[in-house]
Order: sequence, then C-alpha cells, then structure tokens
Amino acid sequence: MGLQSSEEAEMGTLGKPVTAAKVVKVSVVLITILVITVIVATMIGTATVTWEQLWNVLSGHARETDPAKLVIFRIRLPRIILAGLVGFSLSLGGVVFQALLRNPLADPFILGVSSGSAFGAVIGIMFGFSFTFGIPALAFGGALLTMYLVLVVGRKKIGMESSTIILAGVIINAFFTAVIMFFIATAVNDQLHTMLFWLYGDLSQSRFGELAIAGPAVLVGFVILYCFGKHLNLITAGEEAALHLGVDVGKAKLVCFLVVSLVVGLVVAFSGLIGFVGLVIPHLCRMLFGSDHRLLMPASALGGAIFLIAADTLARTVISPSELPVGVITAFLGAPFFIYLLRKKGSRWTGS
Amino acid sequence: MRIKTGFPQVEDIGLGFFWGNEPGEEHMILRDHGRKKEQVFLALACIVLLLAAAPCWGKVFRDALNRTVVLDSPPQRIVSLAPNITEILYYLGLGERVAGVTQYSYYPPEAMKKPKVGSYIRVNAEKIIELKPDLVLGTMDGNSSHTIDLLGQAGIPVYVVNPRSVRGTIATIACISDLAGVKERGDEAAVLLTERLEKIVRKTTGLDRPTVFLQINIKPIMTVNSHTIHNDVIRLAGGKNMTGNLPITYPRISREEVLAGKPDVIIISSMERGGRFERARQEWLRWPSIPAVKHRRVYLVDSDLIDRPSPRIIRGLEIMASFIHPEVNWSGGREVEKDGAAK
Amino acid sequence: MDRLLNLKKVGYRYDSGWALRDVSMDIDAGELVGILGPNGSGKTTLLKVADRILEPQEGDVLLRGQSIQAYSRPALAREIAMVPQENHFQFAFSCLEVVLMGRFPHMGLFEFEGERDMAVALEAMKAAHCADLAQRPINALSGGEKQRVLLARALAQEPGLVLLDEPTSFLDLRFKKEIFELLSSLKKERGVSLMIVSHDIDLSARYCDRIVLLDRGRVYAEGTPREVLTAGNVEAVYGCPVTVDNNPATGTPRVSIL
Repeated sequence: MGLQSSEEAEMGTLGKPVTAAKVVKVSVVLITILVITVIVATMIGTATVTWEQLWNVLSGHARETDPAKLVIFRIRLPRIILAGLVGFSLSLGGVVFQALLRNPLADPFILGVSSGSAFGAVIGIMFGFSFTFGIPALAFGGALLTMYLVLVVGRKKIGMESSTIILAGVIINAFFTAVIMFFIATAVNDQLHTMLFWLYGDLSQSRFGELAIAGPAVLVGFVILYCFGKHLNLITAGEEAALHLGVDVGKAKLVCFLVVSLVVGLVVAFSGLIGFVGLVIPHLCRMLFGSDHRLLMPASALGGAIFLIAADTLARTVISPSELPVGVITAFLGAPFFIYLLRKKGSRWTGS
Repeated sequence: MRIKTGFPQVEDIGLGFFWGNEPGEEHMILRDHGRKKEQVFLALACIVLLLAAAPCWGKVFRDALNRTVVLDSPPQRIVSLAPNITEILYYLGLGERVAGVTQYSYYPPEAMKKPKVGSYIRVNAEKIIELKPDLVLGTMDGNSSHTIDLLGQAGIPVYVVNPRSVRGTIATIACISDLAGVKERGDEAAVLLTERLEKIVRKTTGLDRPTVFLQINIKPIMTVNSHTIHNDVIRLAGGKNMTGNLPITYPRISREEVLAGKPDVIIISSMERGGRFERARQEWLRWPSIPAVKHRRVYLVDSDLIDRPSPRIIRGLEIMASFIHPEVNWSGGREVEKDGAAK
Repeated sequence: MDRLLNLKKVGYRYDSGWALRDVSMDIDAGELVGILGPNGSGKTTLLKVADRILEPQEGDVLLRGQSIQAYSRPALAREIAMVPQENHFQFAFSCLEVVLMGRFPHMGLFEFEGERDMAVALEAMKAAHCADLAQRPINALSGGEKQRVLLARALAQEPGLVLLDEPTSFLDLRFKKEIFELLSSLKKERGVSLMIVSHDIDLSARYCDRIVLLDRGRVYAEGTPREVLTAGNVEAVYGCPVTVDNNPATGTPRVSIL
C-alpha cells in the first residue's frame, strides 16, 4: 500500500482505465494551456506589443496599417500557428511510431521520412523552386518516396515485421543523408544557408496559404489515427497477441504508417526538420497520463503543440534581432531531459 | 567652374591596407574645398534647384526584380539589408540617414553603432517595422522574398539590387544615389570609379593573362569559379582565373590540383593580416614546382576588397592588378604598396 | 456434442519444410486437450493454425462447422483466445488494463469500456486468481502472476476455446500444478474448451481429457492419456527409452526416463 515502485509511479494516474470523461477533461485542460501559450507568444518578440495594442488589434479597432496589427497577424500568428501544428504532428507521429514499432526510441524520423523530405526540399532549393509551393511539394514528395521505399524494402510476411522496417528505414535514411551532403558540398553560399536553416527547422516562412493546407490535413489525420487508439494499445502488447485479441494488425499498421507518414511529411515540408519533439513529448505524456493511446494521443499532440510554440518563441527572442534555428532549442531542451529519463528508468527502459 | 560636391575623392584617401583609407581621414563628412565665392554661388544654386525640384521629386523606380517602387520624397530613414549596401550608403555620405543595418556591417566602423535588423540571411521583419523606415534596400540573393513581400504589405518601400560584377557595382552605386535623391553624388562617384577601372583595363589590354589561383579558404582549400565577383576582379585586372571553368561556385580543391594547374600567381584572401593566412602562404612556398612560388608571387589580399560589390572593390581591383601585372607602371595614381607582396 | 474446432488433413509449410502434415483432430465443447511432442514436432504451429495466425496450405480448419476463413478477426477473437508462452510489454499498463484488452473484440470503434466490460474483466481475474493484482503494473509481476493475468485476459474475451502455449514452462513446480488445477476447474465451471501445448507429460496425463501426440508434424497417436502414453509411443516419438507406470496417488500414467 505505502511503497510505490517506480513502475507504479510511471503508470501515473493509471490503474484506473481510461474513460471518455477523462480524455475530455485532460484535453480541455491542455487546450486551455495551449490558448494561453498562443496569447503569450503573440505578445513576445522583437517589436513591442502591449496588452492595449493586442486588444485593439483583436477587437478590430486598429487601422489597416497599424504596425502592431501587421506584426501580429502577418508575422507572429502565422508562425505561432505553424509551430503549433508542427509540434502537434511530430508528437502524434512519435506516439504512433513508438506504438507500431514497439520501440520507445522511435520518433517520426526513424523511418527516413525526415531525410526523404529534406532530400526533396534540398532539390527544390538547388533549383530555385518557390518557398510557397515548390519546395513544400517536393519535400512532401520526398517523404512519400521514402515511405514507399521503406515499405517495399522492409516488407515481410505477416504484414511488416517491425525490425526489418526499422533497418530499411535506417539504410534509406543513410542514403538520403549522403545525397543531401553531396548537395551541401556543391551549393552556392546563400543556397547553403537556406538549406542549413531548413535542416534545423525554420518556422519563419509561414504563410496562411500553407496553414490552410496543413491545418485540415493534420486534423483529419488525427481523427483517423484516433480511431486506431485501442488497436495501438493492443499492438504494443505484441503483434501476435494483438492478432489473437481480434485486431486486424496488417490493416491497422498499414493505415497508421501511411497516415502518420503523410502528416509528418507534410509538416516537415513546411517547417524543415525539428528533432526531439516526437521523442520527448510522448515519453513525458506517458509518464503523466499512462500508455493508453486514447488518452496519450490527444495529450501528446497538444503537449507537442505547446512545447514547440514555446521553443520557437525562445528561438526568435533569445538572440534578438537574430534568430536561432528552432531545432537547436528543441535539442537543448530535449536532450538533457532524455538523459534524465534514461538514468531514471535505467534497465527498465524496455519496460521489462 | 567645376562644382566640387565635396565628398571624398579616391585620390584623397590613403592606401592603408585595412580600411582603404588613412587613419584620421574623415571621408564621410562633406568637405568644403575652399573658395568662398564658389561656396556662395553653390548655396544660391542649391536653393534655386531645391525650390524648383521640390514639388516634382516624387519618383517611380524599377528594381532588379522588376518591382515598381514609388518614393514620394528622398528617403530619410534607410534600412540596409546587406553589408555592401551599408558601405555604399556611407560612401555616398548618407550615413546619417541609415536607420538600420544587418549584423555583419562592420564597415565603416560607424555603421556598427546602428540598430541591427538581423542577419543578411535571416532578416528580422519585426525589427524593421519597428524602425519605421521609408526605404529598405535589399539584395536579390540572400534576402528572403517572403520578408520582402511582408515589408511591402507594411507599406514600406523595398528596393532590391543585384550587382554581380564590378561594373554592376558602380551602376548600383549610381542607382542608390538616385533613389536617395543625391543623384549628382552618385554620378560623380560613378565617373571617378569608372575612370580608375578603365585605367586598369587600358594598361592591361594586350598583355598576356597570367593564370591566377585565388584561395578564399584555408582548410579546406576553396576557390571561386567564373560566377563570382572575385572572378570579375581577376579578369579586369588582366588575369585568368585558374578555376573559372569549374561547375561549383565555391569549390573545394586539392593541393595536387593546384600544382597541376601551374598558376603564375597565387592570391590568398583573408580578413586579417598575419596569423593563419601568413602560414598558409608559407605552406605554398614549400612547392617550388608551382610557377607562382618559383617567382615568389604569393600574395595576401583583404577579402573585403574583392568579395563584395561595394565601393572598395575598385581598391581591390587596383591591388589585384598590381599583383597580377607588377610589370606595369601603375603610378599616375600612386605607387603600389608592397603589402602582402612577398618579395 | 458440439464440434467446436475441426482440423481436417491440415498441412502447413514454412520455407524450410513441412511443419504439419495431414493433421486431423477435433475439439469438443468442454474438453481439455493436451498437445504433446518433442521440439520441432509442430506443436506451436498447430496452435497458430488453430487461431488463423498461419493459413495452412493444405486442408481445412472449421470453427463451429464453418470455415475459419469466414470469420473476421474480431469475430474469431470472440470464439478463440490465446495465452502465449511469454509476453513482453514495452509500455506500462496496469493488470486491469491488460485484462480489459481482452474486451476488444466485443467493443465498437469509439467505444470505451462500459460496466459490462468491467464486470467481465473483474470476474475473469477472479477466476484466474489474480484479482488482487488489478492495480499493479504488468511488468512488475513474477512469471506466475503474469501468466494468470494473461489467462484472465483470454477469459475476458468470453471464448469457447482457449489455446495455451506451454503455460508451465517458466513456472516453479508448485505453480505448474496450480495452473493445471485452474484450467481444469475453468473447464468444469465455465464449459470452456482448452487446448494446451505442453512439455509436461505427467501433468498433462493427469488433467487432460485427451492427448494428441505429434511426431515431426504428423499425429502419431490420439486418445485418452492412458491410450496414448505407452512406452512404445513415447520412445518412438521422443527417441529415448522410458518406462510407464501409474502415479500411485492419482492413478494416471507416469512416464519415467530410463
């Protein structure tokens, strides 16, 4: 009764199975925190925006050319919304990949979606494609291509053996990374800078057009993946066990892999590569909310959104008026936390 | 009577290695060249011209991206989005009108005190909006088109330049002076700079072009191909860029390749004298099979003078010409400084 | 009597060769059937074929008279449940949550566990003697405890047939017997059929209604323990000389290695 093992502590509020009410409650709390984060982030930046100005702008009283209005609507809000969407998707991707591959170290990039996407974007940068459509389209295409290659190479009998898929992903990752290195070595100076910024994450080029595409796509993707919440729970117990329990594992894996890769590929196309979000936030949420994916998925997704908005706000203010790539901030925040997790859990890493 | 507009002539500037001028030389301030009568006449003429010109100053310009830029009056708060543009503004005596610069605008030193608007690659739009400029000058490569659009939407005029060559630089100087309402200064400057340029071209026409290897980085050894302004400088100085034909703009190259290319002149571009770059020069001296080494023609040049489209590039051109064609009698301007010339 | 599960001349082949050949057997309702045989005789393959994890290249599998192919996965899971030899949970779940996983085939797409599901799960845990473990994390349990929880999960599916793959392999002597006792009482109280793959000849002999002895993928002998477990059969299949007599306490066949 008294002594709680670290396993039990890790289960958090577990023991009691997840109910719909609990999911709603946690989601509401996180959404509230998200809204507060957005408001705070809107007010922080190089240009000063006071409460009055913010209120003026939001209530529609500001003039068309009011600098505060411009800063808020054209510069900050698109950026904040993109950060939220990207954080949402990467976290969600992390949760789903960790479940499908039954590997706590999986992140949305493990299967090479990142390098494929980067490959597409780098080609776009080399050949001068536009940043609004050309480059995101190519990056997305790159993600699809990688996913296809990984599935073709890694396919096995029982509908995707996880370890083969991981291996295939690693190899394809390595290949595309080498190709990207080749392009970097031969790039002209300014192309190079743009590429490097993209390779570490760049949320500054956000436009409402992009958000109009990415937003609905991400939300639809979330809904589809949420349908598989119970399936994912069972799949983490083992693919064969899940089959015995009545899960059509082949179909579940296929749909989930596809949807999550598309969603991640899409956001990476607009934002570049941002690491650690898909690794750290799911783990943190598992510690707080347990492993049931019906709660974990919305919690991680919202947590990811909050985290990345905060990280991006730091990235654009810490050395103002200059800017750090947001991937650097997530790495600085994420890596120590991860080391802490490793030390705390130690050999219990794999939950055995 | 020649109206001297008073801003610095190149002949007035000393030949210091670092900044292209002698210490103590205040080249930024309008100087009165002395004759009182002419002063008065000048003042009257200006008043008349101003009165005449004021109502019809409003101008429409087309920039390098073919965008239309409209200015109602000469801009008083100018933001520069690249270090070379900052240099040009100060060169034209517009230093006081500079409202913001990018991070690495070190030249002239006064520019370092100006508010920073981010870096040339990553411009901070919020900061610019806060500064309320009436003209922003950007470059085609480097500055993001998204930011330029954003500023446009804020009602801030943005003019994009694209100087890719030495002559292009001179044209850009003239163009910027026009934008700023100081067209006469720009035209004068253009005339003088072109004169210096043409002098070099004249004196090197018909001469054999020595093969020049320009090293812009030590580890790894990197050089430039023909799509760079460095190449233009070499060419105008009467040389031939050894690596002009390479497909990559800033290619890495191995020492063996340089040996194989047998350059007549090796020039190492640096941001400082001595130290690493001096050692780099010593490195080359160990390979006497290279003609440049055999004839002790390995030089150092300040990279600022040849890597950016700014007024100092003419200075850079002169220095390079003196390295590449030392046999020419360059005086009639001045004696070529023996800086960096390893004799 | 209902024929619950029929295998008719089932053959299954891996790349390396036939694991099962010409296997026919039946399970009726309320039977405890033991599958015995040395390693490589196809025991585990047989279980996988029974639950349609593997699809045989030859023969048919019928569940309640219908081809097993006709069932959707969830429908199949409502009839047949499996207790694996061991289970490795990568992420932390409580025992109750694990048992509730067994309710999956009875739940709709967005449905959360309801009262009935909770009732069935708790009842299954009681039947499997692990009700006190409900709030414990699954990975903190001993082998025996985990086994009972997995059994409860299988029971939560409310199946007609439970398959068990060497349920006693990693257990201490005491727990081996306990498990068999438990299985036997489940059979009697709930009418559930059980198919157990085991290395434990003595306990199988004692508790099973019928034994199927496999030899290199074929059914070597089939019938009551007394009929199947003769010295001749055991020697032929296991390849080592034995003697068979009766366990003095229970009267069931006892095999001793010579």
